[in-house]
Amino acid sequence: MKKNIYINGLGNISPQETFYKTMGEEVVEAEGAFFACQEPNYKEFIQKKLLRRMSRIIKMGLATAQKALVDANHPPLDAIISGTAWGCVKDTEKFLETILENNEEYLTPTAFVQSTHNTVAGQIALLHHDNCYNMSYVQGYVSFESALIDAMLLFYDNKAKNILVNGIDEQTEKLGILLERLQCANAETAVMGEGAACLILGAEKTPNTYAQLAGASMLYRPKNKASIQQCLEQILQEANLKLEDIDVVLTGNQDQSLEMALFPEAAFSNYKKLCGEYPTSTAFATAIAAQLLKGDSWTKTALGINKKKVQHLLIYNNHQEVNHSIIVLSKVAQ
Amino acid sequence: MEELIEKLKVQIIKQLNLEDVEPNEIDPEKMLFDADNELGLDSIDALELIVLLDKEYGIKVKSQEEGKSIFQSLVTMAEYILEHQK
Repeated sequence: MKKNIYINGLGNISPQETFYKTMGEEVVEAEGAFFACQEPNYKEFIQKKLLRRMSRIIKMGLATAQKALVDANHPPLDAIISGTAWGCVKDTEKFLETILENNEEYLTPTAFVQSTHNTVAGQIALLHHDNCYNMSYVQGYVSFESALIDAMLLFYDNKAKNILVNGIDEQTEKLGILLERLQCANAETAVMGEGAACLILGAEKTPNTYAQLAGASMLYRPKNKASIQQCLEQILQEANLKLEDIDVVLTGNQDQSLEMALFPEAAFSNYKKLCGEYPTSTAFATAIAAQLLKGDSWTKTALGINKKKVQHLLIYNNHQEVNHSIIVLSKVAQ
Repeated sequence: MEELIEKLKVQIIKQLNLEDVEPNEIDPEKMLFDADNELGLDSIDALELIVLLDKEYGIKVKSQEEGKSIFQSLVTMAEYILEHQK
């Protein structure tokens, strides 16, 4: 049965100043083809002796989890669910390079152990001694959405009261070259990005609640625009909303004609100008959307949203006409 | 021996990714895997040291007991290398 789900805590590492603040006073713009994250001092969150084994993405995942848990006042977790397309790609590269350099001998254990996609979710559980449901979704450009929908289903089935959900992906130079070669990325049209965003979802509203998660859905290779529209209308209907109720659309798409036609009264912003293009960019979008709905003026300014009243917000991302995803958030009255 | 110990310090720092540790901070006489040792090494580090011995010095550690005596300290490691290096 459908239930109310609230975003009660956030941790966000992105190319913008989103970790220590909600958003920097000035928008950081990408220089070159790669939009790198502004990382915090990890020693504030992770013991030094543990840090030395962790690659960047693990540190990012753990620091954002820690920040979100503190922000949500440490609720007991019933599930830890990660979404990542590239996983611990730096450790994977390191491990593969060692295999090549040493002719398949002298393989060190650390890079291997930490090259798997579920390392971050596992490390969060180890660090917080949480032996609850632990899942990692590796579903390309809808990895975060898959994690989010799993969390929603756990709430609907009464199997959870608090869930940690994150979307994490790191970029490396080699990965950028490979993605271009495979025609999965084009540095000339989209700046490649990276990020780690963590949400603490709760079945109950708290004094810290940012927004309500009203719905989420994914579409795989939709036949035409009408089927996307149908999906949008259905998700809004399930949230007791109509197309005209949406005040802001955060889009990840270069061609925004469909969104503009469906939501003529809404304010638009392309969130990828703040984080670049990467598979779990919608986690970043969800985090900043939640901040915006809570009334954060810095986020509103960074997104260039002038609308005074924002009650309902829709995030729509379409990756190469293959993976479409929709997330709907609503303002919560405190 | 002194030269080998200094070389080992650098190799261990690199292999175990001991961030913020300088070679002169490692006491060659101190028990490497002692709980009081500020390096905080554990069983995964022991595996990394076995790989280091094999890769850099061509020495294969054959048993757990042998490993325990080799990796007591930097001095015992250096002594073992000098004795067994091919």
